[in-house]
Amino acid sequence: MSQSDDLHAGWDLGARLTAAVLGGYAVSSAWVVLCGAMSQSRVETMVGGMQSSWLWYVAVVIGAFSPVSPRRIWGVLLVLILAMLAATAALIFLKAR
Amino acid sequence: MQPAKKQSGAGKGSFRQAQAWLHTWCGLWFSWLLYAVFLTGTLAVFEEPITHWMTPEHHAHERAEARQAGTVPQAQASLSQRLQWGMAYMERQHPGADMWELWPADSKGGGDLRVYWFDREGQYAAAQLDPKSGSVMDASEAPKVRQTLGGHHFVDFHYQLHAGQLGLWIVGIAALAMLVALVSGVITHRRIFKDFFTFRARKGQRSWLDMHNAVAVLTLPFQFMIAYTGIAISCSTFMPAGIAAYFGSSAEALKSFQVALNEPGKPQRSGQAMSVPDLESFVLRGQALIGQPVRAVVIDYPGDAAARIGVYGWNDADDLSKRLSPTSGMAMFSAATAELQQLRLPGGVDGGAAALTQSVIGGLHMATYGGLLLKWLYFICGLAGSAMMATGAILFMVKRRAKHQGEFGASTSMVYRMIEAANVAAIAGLGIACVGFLWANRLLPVELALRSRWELAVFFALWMLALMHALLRSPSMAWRDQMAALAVLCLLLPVLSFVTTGDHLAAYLRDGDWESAGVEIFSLAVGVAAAAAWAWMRRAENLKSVRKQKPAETSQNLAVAVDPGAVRKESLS
Amino acid sequence: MTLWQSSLQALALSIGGMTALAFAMDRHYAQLRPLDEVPAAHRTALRVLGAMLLLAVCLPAMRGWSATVGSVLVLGFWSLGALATVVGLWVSARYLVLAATVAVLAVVASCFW
Repeated sequence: MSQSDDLHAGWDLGARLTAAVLGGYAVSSAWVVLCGAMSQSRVETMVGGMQSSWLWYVAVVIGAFSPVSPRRIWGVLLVLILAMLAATAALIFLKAR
Repeated sequence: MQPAKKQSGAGKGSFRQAQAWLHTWCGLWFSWLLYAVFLTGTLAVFEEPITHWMTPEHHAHERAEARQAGTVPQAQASLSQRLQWGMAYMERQHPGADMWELWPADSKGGGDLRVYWFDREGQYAAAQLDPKSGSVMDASEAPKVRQTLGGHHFVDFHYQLHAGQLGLWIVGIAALAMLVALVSGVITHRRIFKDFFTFRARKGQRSWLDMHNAVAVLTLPFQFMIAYTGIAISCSTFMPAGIAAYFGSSAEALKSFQVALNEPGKPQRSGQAMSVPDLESFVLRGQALIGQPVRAVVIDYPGDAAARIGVYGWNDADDLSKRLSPTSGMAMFSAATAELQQLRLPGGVDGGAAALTQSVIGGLHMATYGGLLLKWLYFICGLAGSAMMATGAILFMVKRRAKHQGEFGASTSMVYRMIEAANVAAIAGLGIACVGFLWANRLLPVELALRSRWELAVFFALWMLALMHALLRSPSMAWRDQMAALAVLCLLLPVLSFVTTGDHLAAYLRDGDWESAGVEIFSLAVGVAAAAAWAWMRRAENLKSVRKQKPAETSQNLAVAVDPGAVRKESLS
Repeated sequence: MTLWQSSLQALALSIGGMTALAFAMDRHYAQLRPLDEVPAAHRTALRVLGAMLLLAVCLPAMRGWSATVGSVLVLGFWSLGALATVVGLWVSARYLVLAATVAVLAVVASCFW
C-alpha cells in the first residue's frame, strides 16, 4: 500500500520538477521570442525580454510547487507557451504587412 | 499502523506550507554551492587589495618608482609622440587587422603605452611599447613579481568556478535557485514584519532561525538585486532563444547580434584603400567633446576608406561615484571626412534603453559605482548573505538532530550524515581553503613553474581534505577541528607574511598601505571570530557530556543542550 | 561635505529610524518598560518619527553622490541601520535608545555647523 504511495509521490515530484526546470525555461524562452517580435529592430525589445524572462522563470518554479495538481500545472504552462508563440506569429505577420 | 497523511511534501498543504517545503529543499541542495559563490564573490569586491597583498615584490618596485618620480623630473613623451609611435608599430606589424586599439597614456598623460588588435583567429592580442622610445618592450623587462592569480582567483571562482562555460552555467542555475529560495522564503515567513528586529539568543533552534531571518530579511533588497543582476549579466548566454530565432545559431549570428546591440551605427568596409590619418587632432577634439582625458583610441577597418576613429575617455573617481553605468565617454569620427558620427557622454551606452539597462545591471552587480564606501556596503551585505546560507544549512540539521523526520525512508540517517559533513566542509572548509590560498602564496617558491596553478591546487586540495575530514570525524568534532584550524591559519597569516617577506602590519599602516593592512586585519578578525566559535562549541559540548552523566536532567530536545543558558533556567525552575 | 560625512549622517539617521520603528512594536517596547502593549500615542509618534528619519536618509545619500546612486545607497543604509538595531536590541535596549538619540542629535547639529 505504502509502496504505491511512494511511487505516486515520486511521479508527482518528477512532474513538478520537470515543469519547474524545463517548463520554466520554455516559458522564458517563448517570452524572449515574443519580445523580439515587438519591434522592427528586434534587438532592443529582445534584450529587454532576456532581462525580464527571469521573472517568468521564478514565477513558474513557485507555481510548479504550489498545491495544485501537476496535470493542471502542465496545462497552464502549455497554454502560456502556445499563447506567447501565437502572439509572436501574429506580431510578425502584422508588422510584415 | 497507518502513517498519518503527509502534510509536508511537494505541493502539499496550504500555499504557505508548500512554499516552505520548496524553500527548505531548494535552499538546502544549493546552499553549499551558493555559499561558496557568495563568499568568494564577497572577497572579490576587494580583488585589487588582495592581489596587492599577494604580490609583495610590487610594493618594493612601486616604492622605488615613487621615489624616482619624486627626485628626477621625468621627461614624459608627449601624447602626440606616443600616438605616433603606436601608429608606427601597428602599421609595421599588423597592417591588415580589422581593428587597432591604442592606449597611449594614463589619465595624467604618463604611464604605459599599450596597443591591442584582433589577430588572425579573431582573438584579442596585446603588446606593450616603451613610452620613452616607442620600441616593443620585452616581458623580461617587467619587474620580477611572483606569478599568481591574486584576487582574481576569487572573481573567477565566483562566476565560473574556474570551469569556463560549464562553470558559468552551474553558477547561473544556482543563482536562479537562490531567487526561488528568496521568494519562497518571503512567502513562507508569516510574521515578517513582527519578527523584523527579533533575535532571541541562547534558545537553540529558535536562535538559529532568528539569525537566518535577520541576515536575510534585513538585507533583502541587496540579496534580490545581486542574485538577479548576477543572472542578467549573462542573459544572452543563458537565454539564446531570441538570438536563435531572429539571427541564427552560428557564431556569426551571435557576432551580428552583438554588433546590432552595441555598435548600431557601424558601417561596412568600403573596399577603397586609405591610410589612417594623424590621430592627434581627433584625440584633442574627442577629449574636448567628452570632457575626459583620452584612455583609448580604437580604429575600425584601418587602411580602408570607411575607417572610424573612436576616442574613449578615462572615468575619474567622481564619474564612477555618481553614475550606476560604468561606461566612459566616447566620440566616434569618420577617418575620411573627420565628421563626428557618434557622441557618448560618460555613463551612456552606444545602444538604446536595453543596452543602458544592461550596463546598469553590470555596474550594480560589480559595484563599479559609489566608490570605496559602496564596496564596504557590498562586503557587509555579502557576508550577511553568506551567513544567510550558512545558518539555513545549519538550521536544517539542528532541527533534524532534535527530531528525525524520515524524509528519505530507511536511508534518512545516512543522508543526514552526508548533509552534516557537507555543512562543515562547505562552510568552515571553504574558509580554510581561502586562507590556505593566501598561505600558499607566501610559502610556494617564487620561481616555481606554473606557480599560479599550484596556488589554485592548494585551494582545492585543502577543500577536499576538509570534506574527507568531515566524513571521517563525528559532526561536532569536525566542526570544532575545522574552526580551530581556521582560527590558527587566519591568526598566523600576518606572522607567516612577516617571516617570508619581511612586511608586517605596523609597516603597512606606517606607509599608508591600506590595502595590505586591510587584508591582514580582516584575516585577524576572522581568526578571532573562528576562535570564539570554537570556544563556544567546546563549552556546549562539555555541558552536553556533563548532562549525559545526569540522566534525570536530560532533556528530550538535544538542540537545547547546545545552549547553556537554557540549562541554567531549567535547573532553577 | 565629504563622502565620509555623508555616510555617517546617513547611517546615523538610518539607525535612528529603525530604532524608533522597533520600539513602536510591543515586544521591543517591553524591553524598555514592563508593559504588554505600546501606548497608542507612543506607537503613532514612534512610527512617524521612524518613517521620517528613514526618509531623511535620502538627503545625505543623494546629496553626497547622485540621485541614481543615492537611491541605491539608501537601501544599503537602511539594511545597515536595521542590522545595527537588531544587535543593539540584543545587547541592551536602553543603550540602543541612548546611542540612537545621540546619533540623530549629532546629525542635526552637523547641519548647522
